[in-house]
Amino acid sequence: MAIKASASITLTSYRDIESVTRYYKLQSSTASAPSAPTTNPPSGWTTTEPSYTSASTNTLYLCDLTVYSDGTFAYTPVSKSSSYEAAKEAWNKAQNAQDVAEEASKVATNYMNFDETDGLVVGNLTGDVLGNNVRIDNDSVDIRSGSNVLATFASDLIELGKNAVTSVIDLCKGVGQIKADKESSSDSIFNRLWIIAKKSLILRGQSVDISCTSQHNNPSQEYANSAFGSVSCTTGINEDLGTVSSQSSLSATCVENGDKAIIRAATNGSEGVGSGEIYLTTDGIYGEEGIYMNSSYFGVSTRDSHLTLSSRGIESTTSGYVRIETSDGSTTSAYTFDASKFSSGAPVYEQGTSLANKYAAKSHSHTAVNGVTPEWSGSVAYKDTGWIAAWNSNGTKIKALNKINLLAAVSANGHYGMAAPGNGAAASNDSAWIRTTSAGLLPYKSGGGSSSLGTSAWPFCNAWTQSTIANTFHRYTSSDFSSYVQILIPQKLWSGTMKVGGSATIKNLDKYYEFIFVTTENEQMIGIRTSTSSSFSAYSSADLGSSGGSWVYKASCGVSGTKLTLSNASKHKLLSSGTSHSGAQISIKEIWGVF
Amino acid sequence: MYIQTDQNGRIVAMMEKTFIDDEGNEVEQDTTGYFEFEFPEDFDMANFNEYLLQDGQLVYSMSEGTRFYKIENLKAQLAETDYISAKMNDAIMSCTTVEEILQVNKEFNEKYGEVLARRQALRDEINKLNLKEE
Repeated sequence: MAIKASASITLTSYRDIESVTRYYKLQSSTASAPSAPTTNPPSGWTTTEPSYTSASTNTLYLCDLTVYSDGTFAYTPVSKSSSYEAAKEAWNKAQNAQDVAEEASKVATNYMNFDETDGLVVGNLTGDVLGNNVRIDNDSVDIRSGSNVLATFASDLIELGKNAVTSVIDLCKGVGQIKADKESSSDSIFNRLWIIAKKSLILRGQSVDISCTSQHNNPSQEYANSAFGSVSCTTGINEDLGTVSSQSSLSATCVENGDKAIIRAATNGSEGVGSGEIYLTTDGIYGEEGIYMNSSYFGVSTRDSHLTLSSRGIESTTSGYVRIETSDGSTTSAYTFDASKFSSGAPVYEQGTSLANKYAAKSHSHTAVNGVTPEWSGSVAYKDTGWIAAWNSNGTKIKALNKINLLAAVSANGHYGMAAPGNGAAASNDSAWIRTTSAGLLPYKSGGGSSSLGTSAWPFCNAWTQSTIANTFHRYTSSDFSSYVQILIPQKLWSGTMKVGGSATIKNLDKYYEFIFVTTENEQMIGIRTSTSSSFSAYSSADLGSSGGSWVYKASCGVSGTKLTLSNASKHKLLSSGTSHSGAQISIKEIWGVF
Repeated sequence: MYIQTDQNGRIVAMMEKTFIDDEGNEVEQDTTGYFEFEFPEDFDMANFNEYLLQDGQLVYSMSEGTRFYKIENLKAQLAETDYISAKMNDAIMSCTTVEEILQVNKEFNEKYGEVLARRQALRDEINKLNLKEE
């Protein structure tokens, strides 16, 4: 195949850029951003970039015009001039800084001054007279009124109320104050400093020392051999924290005298006034709270015109006893109350009762009982040969126990035994009857097996009961008879259903000599185990009545130890004609035994 | 319930752990030789002796005692009509001809037919209990 040549020419229309021109437009920043121009040249736009004018808030917009070689043109989108915005922000910041600096300069000039002599003074300097101010110099910070220093704060000294002794330092919203006044005495006038709390003042620390070296303004007048001071607690302070009333009631003065510290009565700080009173108390109610003395609580109170001692300061306490000891501290020594020192009406009381009336029977007369007149030994109403008696506070006998009313114990035949109460001089009566309560006599504890009524060596002679004696043997011994006496009270030994070949284990089986087998038909067969034989039989018969003949029941069993085995259990019908018979196995439902 | 079985597994006794005596006291029983067993609700408790316990299952098996007395009672019933047999035997022995024997047989069957049938049934029952009439 011949190959033909081919060729092609591509024609292209090409548009070139003739020019690019930037246009600017400056307008208020509050106005909307302008749209891109649509004409060439644009209206309202300039080709010259305007410069920034101070304080101007306008916004500069710009866009580019592109003209093509075919005469067409196009504008870029309008945008903000970033350099113009930057210039505007820089001017605003500079202006603000200048304003602040100008205001600071005014303050420094009107309220602060510094010179080498006074240091820095802060106050209102605009007037002719300097009022309250703060001065900071090389060694302190002073709070002043004009040139008067009211308070000073230095590196090692703080002074408050410096300008006058009448200054008052108010603390914690008026809860407390520190102030001073002057007190005159016969020989001097001296200042006093007050630390005042509206309610209570608490000094707290691991140790709090309040020490007074001298109350005199002239040290030369101090006593030669004593450090003298006082701690004064004054009541009756008026609410204005200023005036001490005339009813100040307590002033305790500590005097160091050799190796002793003495608290003694004083009034209003006067030293050693003998007529003063001392109250030891933990609150305003005297004697109602505990007070320590020698590391132990005690309480002393006065009530109803009587002095009361208590072990914890509260009357009628149950926390301890109040003990009266002899002077040498011996608790075994006899105590003696001197009756002459007590009131005849109420010398000593115990739980509201006069001990004299309670125990001192000599003051009362008593009627003889059973020929015995009460006698008294000392303060105990006890007569060894017959009486223990007590009388209440009005002399009425509340209990008179003599041996007639007391169950006695008599030792005889090697044992203590019960005995009837004696009469008069008789010690007791161990031959009379002693009856039990209406309930009866019990062993040591319930459950059985804990007590015996007699022993093999100490048997009772007779025992009489009207009804049950259970689980018990009575043994009778005499010269001609010695055996167990059977008490004919059947006792159920086993219950269930048993057929031939069945067995039962029965406790004390060898103790039973008579057995009753009850069938499931409630027929009762009786068998006697006449000796310790290993087997026995029980029988019963039943009359058939009008039908003639009868039934004969028989049960045979073997006995081995405590095991009873049923070897045969049947019933047999006997007809009167004797010509025929029938029979059947039977079942045992109960086994009873009799000792 | 506690039960006791013999060497063949036959139940020979049963009882509860306790019983109440005449005074109302609860008395505990000795369960030596017994073991605890729970019977089915529909179990014939009155005839427990007729059951064996094999591998924990209750299996009916008439006891020898029951079998013995059943046969004895059947024999007793049979003996009550023995006189009829004796009477028939005497009548036959008095016959001298075959015709007379047939006549006696006919008369006895007419008169004691039901009794004779009952006696046969009793014998069958005895045989069924594996014992033969003597």
